Amino acid sequence: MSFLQELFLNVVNMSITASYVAIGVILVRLLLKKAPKVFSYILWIPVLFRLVCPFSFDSAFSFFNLINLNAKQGSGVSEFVPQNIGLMQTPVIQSGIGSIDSAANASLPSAIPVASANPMQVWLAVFSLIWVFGVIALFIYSIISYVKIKRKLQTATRVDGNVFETDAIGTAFVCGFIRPKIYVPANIGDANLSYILEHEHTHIRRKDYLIKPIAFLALILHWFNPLMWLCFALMSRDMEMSCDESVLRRLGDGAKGGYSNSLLSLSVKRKGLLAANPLAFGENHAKARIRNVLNFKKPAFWVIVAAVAAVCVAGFAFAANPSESAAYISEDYKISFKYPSSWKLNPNYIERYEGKDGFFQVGAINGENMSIDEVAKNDAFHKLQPYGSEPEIINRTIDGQEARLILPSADQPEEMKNQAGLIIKYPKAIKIDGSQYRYFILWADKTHIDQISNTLTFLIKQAGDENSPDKIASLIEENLAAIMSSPKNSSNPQDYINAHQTEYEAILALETQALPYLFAEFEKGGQTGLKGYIMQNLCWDILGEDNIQYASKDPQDWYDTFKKHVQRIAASSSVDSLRTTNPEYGALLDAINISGTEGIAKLVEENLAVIISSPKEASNPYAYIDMHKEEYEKILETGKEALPYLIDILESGDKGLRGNIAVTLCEDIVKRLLAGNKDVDLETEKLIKEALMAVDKWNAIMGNKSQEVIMPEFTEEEVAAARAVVEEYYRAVAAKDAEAILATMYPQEHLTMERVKSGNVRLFGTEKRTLLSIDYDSQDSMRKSYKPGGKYVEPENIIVFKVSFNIDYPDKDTGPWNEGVYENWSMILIRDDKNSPWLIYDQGY
Amino acid sequence: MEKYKLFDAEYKFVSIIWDNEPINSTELVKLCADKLGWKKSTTYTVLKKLCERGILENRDATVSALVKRDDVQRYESRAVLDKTFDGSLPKFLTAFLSGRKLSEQEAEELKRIIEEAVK
Repeated sequence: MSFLQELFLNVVNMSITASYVAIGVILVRLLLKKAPKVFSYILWIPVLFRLVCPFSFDSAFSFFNLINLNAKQGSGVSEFVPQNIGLMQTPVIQSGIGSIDSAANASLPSAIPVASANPMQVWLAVFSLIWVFGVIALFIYSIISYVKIKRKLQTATRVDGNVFETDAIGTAFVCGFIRPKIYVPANIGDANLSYILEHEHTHIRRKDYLIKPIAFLALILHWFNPLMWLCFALMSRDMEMSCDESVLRRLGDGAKGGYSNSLLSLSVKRKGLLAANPLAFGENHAKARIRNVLNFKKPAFWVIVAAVAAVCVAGFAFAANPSESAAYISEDYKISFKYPSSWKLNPNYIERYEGKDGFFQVGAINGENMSIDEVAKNDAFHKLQPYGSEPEIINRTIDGQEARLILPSADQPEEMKNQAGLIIKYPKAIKIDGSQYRYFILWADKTHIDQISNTLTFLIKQAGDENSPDKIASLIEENLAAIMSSPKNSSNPQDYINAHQTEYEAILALETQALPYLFAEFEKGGQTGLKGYIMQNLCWDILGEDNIQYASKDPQDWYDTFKKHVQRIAASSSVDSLRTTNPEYGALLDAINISGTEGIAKLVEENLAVIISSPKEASNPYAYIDMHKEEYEKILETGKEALPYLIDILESGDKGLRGNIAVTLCEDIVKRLLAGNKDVDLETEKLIKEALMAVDKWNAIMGNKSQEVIMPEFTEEEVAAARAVVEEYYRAVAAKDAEAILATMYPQEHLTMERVKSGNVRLFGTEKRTLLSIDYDSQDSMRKSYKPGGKYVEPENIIVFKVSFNIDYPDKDTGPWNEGVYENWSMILIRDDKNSPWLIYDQGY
Repeated sequence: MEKYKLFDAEYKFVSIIWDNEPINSTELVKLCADKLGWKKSTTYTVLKKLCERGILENRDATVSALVKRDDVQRYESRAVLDKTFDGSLPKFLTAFLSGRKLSEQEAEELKRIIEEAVK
């Protein structure tokens, strides 16, 4: 688009804006009829401002907020006719008035694809040329007129100072820009002259001789707008009348008669000099002025106050653009909020918008295993001290989410530009480029951060999304119907999709929100037709995985296969973990009615029921577990998923076998989770703590649950044999005889002579270990609770001794032991059966 | 003999010459600048015009009048201009903007209104 056309569009837009303001001014002027005319005069300033200045400041208190403009308001420019109108397929003008727009838009030719140039572009070129010729013609005409007048005034003779008289003019006026002179008609009489001079001097004092030409230049620019001609006439009238009033205020009421007579005589003097003009209409200028002069009263104080207030308010409202704050919407960060529209993207940052008065920047924080307070602290007390040395952290709730506001302290570095921070927990973790983020962070200057955060909403919701399932369903149905409507003759589903890309994409835009509907439709069965194919394609596109596009005979078949696939994964891991790894399957899991906890609960309950079913006569829970190792293992395999349910059982206070087994399950699951010093995530750790607490509480309520279990007694020979093994162990240790030591120990994979020799297993160090005592208790609690290698050992095959021994290191040597006496140290021995020897399996506290 | 018709400015100019003739043209420029607020060029333009009409005579930079005060009639210019800035508008627009001309009847009526209001 050429510069000229751009300029023309700018002028048209300014003209439309100014027209609104002008109509407003004309209306306010009616209210100010009784007020001094100077107020009406001042009111024209915003119109002039709008005519010449495409930019304005933004304010919520703008007149334009009243007329509900959807026009683009960012960048401070009011735009009704878009700059790219020539390139739009169907041009649209938005003037803010519905009826005008529909009429105007109906008259706008839309682009005909065959035509090489958009007809709108041609019209635009034509109109802008007409406009610019009009402007040039009017401008030249004005200059010529001015030069002509100047020539006529050349021979005007000085009366006094800057007052000149000439018989070449019929009325008095001021002329000149730098040193304006007053010209009066020759021989108008001294009485008239004094009034007229007073009037013209007032014009000069008020710089009207400059304002009027400026207004006229603006008028030339907007010559095509008839409303502006009316405005110019009204403005001139207001200028004259307010000048008249100003004169009367100075001269007093007594001058009314003389002054109006002067006006009249000047008017009459002109009479007949210009031929009557058919285009002339309305009340004569002079008549209106004379009436105004005669009616002039010094206004009451309150009238002035009210008028000043009205003019200030109206003037501001007319001059300001609506403060349409811009909306920041990020699909990446799943966030939307509003910010001052004058702020612009700073390309040096990833997502930072800046303006003169502030800025904002957004980011996301991984925050895995971190509470919001930890995250907030990390940012607030970053070692670079972006918020100064003593930032303040304040609890907030934003869009229903936990949030922390970080306010800078007084010593914040200047270059941070008053940066404050706001950290909000995402309703659910988001993914950007494959990484998960749990916290959203907004940085903004502290004066704007509250304002921005008040408008902040997440695009994802935990529940109760604005898109209700019903709405989504009807939306999908509508679009599906549209897609299926044509081309009727094709048998290829892809043709239908290609013909309705927009509708298809509208469904895709729902992303995973569309899945519940699609799955539910498939669940109804029989989706072998066109609808099925389209839905299948939608599923593929939304799920975005190639490996689910199985070869199938029809869409229903595909769905059934896919469903089995998901069910298999759910069975092999767990429903809940599947939900976290593949959240998009959640909809399917919902559709086929497997909810995570329910599935686990069912699994635990079913297997528990089997375990406690037999052997009925036994009182030892281990007997039950031993009998149903498979079921027990099934529960163990669910891992932490089963813990909440087991905790429920314990907390319900089930004292019987069920409770007992739940306790061992809890303990075993915890053991497995912690096996090998694995690092567990925060959630698991919390769960483990809860489980252990529940176990403790259960034990406390039950008294010592171990009392219930009475361990079988051994014969004296059996005890003596075992004791001998312990004694032999300590002897061998004292003798530092590795082979002898190993001989006392139960064979385990890691305990081999090779490993001892290679130094992988150390059976002893430089310490001197001296056995002090060996005690035996058949009901030793360790005997009841210890399960070698997590396995169940019959109570008659496990024996525990409590020993005490002393550790002494030679000279300055140290080792894994503390020097001194160890008491109540358990030595755990097991045997494979009654006829096998006792061997040490484990020892310790 | 028909009387010479002089417009207001011309009459004032010739009056200066009657009062001071014969007068040196440089002197005249000074005098006109002082009394009429005229520029040098204006003085010379008007002088030249009146010389052509045989009213004044400029010989060797000395200006004198060829006609007597009694033979001159003062006339008002007929080509009266309207207001300056309105005057720079096309005529029909001037009419549009400043409204209809006052008719004699309206003028009378206004006169009466003024008298009543001032009483």
